[in-house]
Amino acid sequence: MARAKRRERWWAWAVAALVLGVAGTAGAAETALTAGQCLSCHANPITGTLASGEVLSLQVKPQELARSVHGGKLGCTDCHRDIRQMPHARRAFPDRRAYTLGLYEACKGCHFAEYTKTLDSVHFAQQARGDPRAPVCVDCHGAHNVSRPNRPRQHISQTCARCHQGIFEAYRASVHGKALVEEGNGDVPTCTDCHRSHNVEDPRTAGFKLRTPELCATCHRDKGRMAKYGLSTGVFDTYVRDFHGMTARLQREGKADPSAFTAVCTDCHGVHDIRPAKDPASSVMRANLAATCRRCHPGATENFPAAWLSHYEPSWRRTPLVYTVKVLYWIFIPFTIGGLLAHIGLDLWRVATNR
Amino acid sequence: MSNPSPRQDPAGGVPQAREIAVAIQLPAQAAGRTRDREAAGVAAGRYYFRFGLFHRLLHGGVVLSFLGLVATGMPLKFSHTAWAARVSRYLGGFEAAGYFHRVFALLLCLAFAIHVAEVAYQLFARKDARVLWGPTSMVPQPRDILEMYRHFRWFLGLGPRPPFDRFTYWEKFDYWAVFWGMAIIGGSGFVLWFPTLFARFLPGWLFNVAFVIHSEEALLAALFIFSVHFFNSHFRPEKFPADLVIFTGRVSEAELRHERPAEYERLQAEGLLEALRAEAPPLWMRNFSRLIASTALGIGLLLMALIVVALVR
Repeated sequence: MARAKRRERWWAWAVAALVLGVAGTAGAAETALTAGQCLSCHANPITGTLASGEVLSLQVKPQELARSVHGGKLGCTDCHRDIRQMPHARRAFPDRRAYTLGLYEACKGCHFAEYTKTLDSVHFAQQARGDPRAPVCVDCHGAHNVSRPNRPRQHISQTCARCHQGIFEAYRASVHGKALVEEGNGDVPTCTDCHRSHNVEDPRTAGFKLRTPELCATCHRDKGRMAKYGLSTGVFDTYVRDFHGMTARLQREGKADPSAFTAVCTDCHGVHDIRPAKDPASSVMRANLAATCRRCHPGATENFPAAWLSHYEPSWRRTPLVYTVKVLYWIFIPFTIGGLLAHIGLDLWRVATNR
Repeated sequence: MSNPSPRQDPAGGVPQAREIAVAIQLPAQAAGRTRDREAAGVAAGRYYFRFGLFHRLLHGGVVLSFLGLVATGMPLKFSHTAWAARVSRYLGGFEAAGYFHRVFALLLCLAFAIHVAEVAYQLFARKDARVLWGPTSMVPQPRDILEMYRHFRWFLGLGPRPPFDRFTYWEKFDYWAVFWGMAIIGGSGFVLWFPTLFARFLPGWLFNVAFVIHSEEALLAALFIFSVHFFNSHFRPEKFPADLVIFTGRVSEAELRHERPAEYERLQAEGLLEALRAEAPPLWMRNFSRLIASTALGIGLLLMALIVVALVR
């Protein structure tokens, strides 16, 4: 009995040792490489030549990594997960871009929510179509030098400008862009406020265009924000009460042909190049308005723009005639219908009484 | 609610239930009496023409185009409501609704033009001034004021019902409301249809006025037709649920003598009554009329309900 017991104990120790040993070696493998170990090679100006002939610098600047948002939090192999031992195997990439695309998914290990959002973006759709130029995480955020993307806020538009240079130039000259780039104004929209960041939507779709009024209204209906600049918050409400706005609401429900769409904010005010309405170059300046109308209404004369109440509610002081007609109908309709219904009521009452 | 009211049903039902039952019973009884009257009229077989085929077809064209115009136009006016989006989608989307709106508008313009041409023909070709004055004219006359005064006395139980002739004062109001409405909604509609054309010689502010007029006058027209006209012509207790005369063209002798005694007397005195003698409307015609009437009235009431929902919210 005693011998059997001893044997059991021996087995228990053996199994425990094996388990601990395996776990120990596994843990040891994970932490096998420290930054110091990596830097023993990669702190040096070493390079690799890719199949395309491009020379890829393999040097890592430790200070750059330390200054990044990940500094002191992540080690090399947290992102470069496939490297487990030193020296590691040589790896072949056809070109520099293939190297980036092969590695960028490392981010999703921690930033899964953002990664999932990118799958709905126009950038991912472009990548899925096989376009290697479509941006991935590191193209906007950087790799070893990842910093907060909105510090300072101007940084966002500069990041987008790396690919969308022409749009950035138009934006920089606009009322919004000027305030951001020159004054660092926090009230004006930068690229991502309208286009979103990770799930950037294709702005050329019908749905995006017809949602434009709501998009602009997120700020232009904000009383506190508009009061600072003396802007009216009634622009959205007056738009949806006007013919264009009514049409936009119904077109959104159906499968309308985008070429036949009604005018939304950007059709008159411009998109990235929006200027203040008082700017002589503004498309909604009175002198330029007829030309703006003609974009959709060919043959519109100088009379034509007056058909638009310029985002003003009909009022006695500004548009006495329209206002008077409106008020007359508000009186006339209830009075007429009410009077005639009273006539019916009297008739019914007499019929009921006579019975 | 706790104290027993004299209206409490002795059978134990709550007053509300009883009132609902009455509200259902009364129209049903009225419809039953209408059927009885129709059966009696057909049995008696004495009918007179009130509307010729021409006017019945013209009315049909106006009904069709008006319902179409309201159905395709109101979703735009009330674009903020949930039903507007749905109705617009059912009609084939915003573009299709706009297209049909213009087609119906042209149909109504055609009906309007035919009517004006007919009046002009009566007046100038036939040299018949009776379209301008007299009992068969739509022009308001002193007798209408007198009849209105007597009608109100009758409402209050102070006198007998006035003997109406071919057209009552409220029917004339009905006619002129539609006439005026067609001119003003049609006119503003064309301005809005071809804005760049009209802007060549009209000031721009006129479009804002045209927009308000087209929208508000249309609302008035829809509310008027779907409540006042529907009631005065179809839902009156003695006609409920529909007066088929505008569809069959024929009115029974009993109804003519009861509703428009002055016209009956006048036609008899002038010796014109026999020329208007008609066969009783055959069953197929009455059933066909019922089909048209219930469809048009149903669509109208539905549109009325949607408009009221949009106005109240």
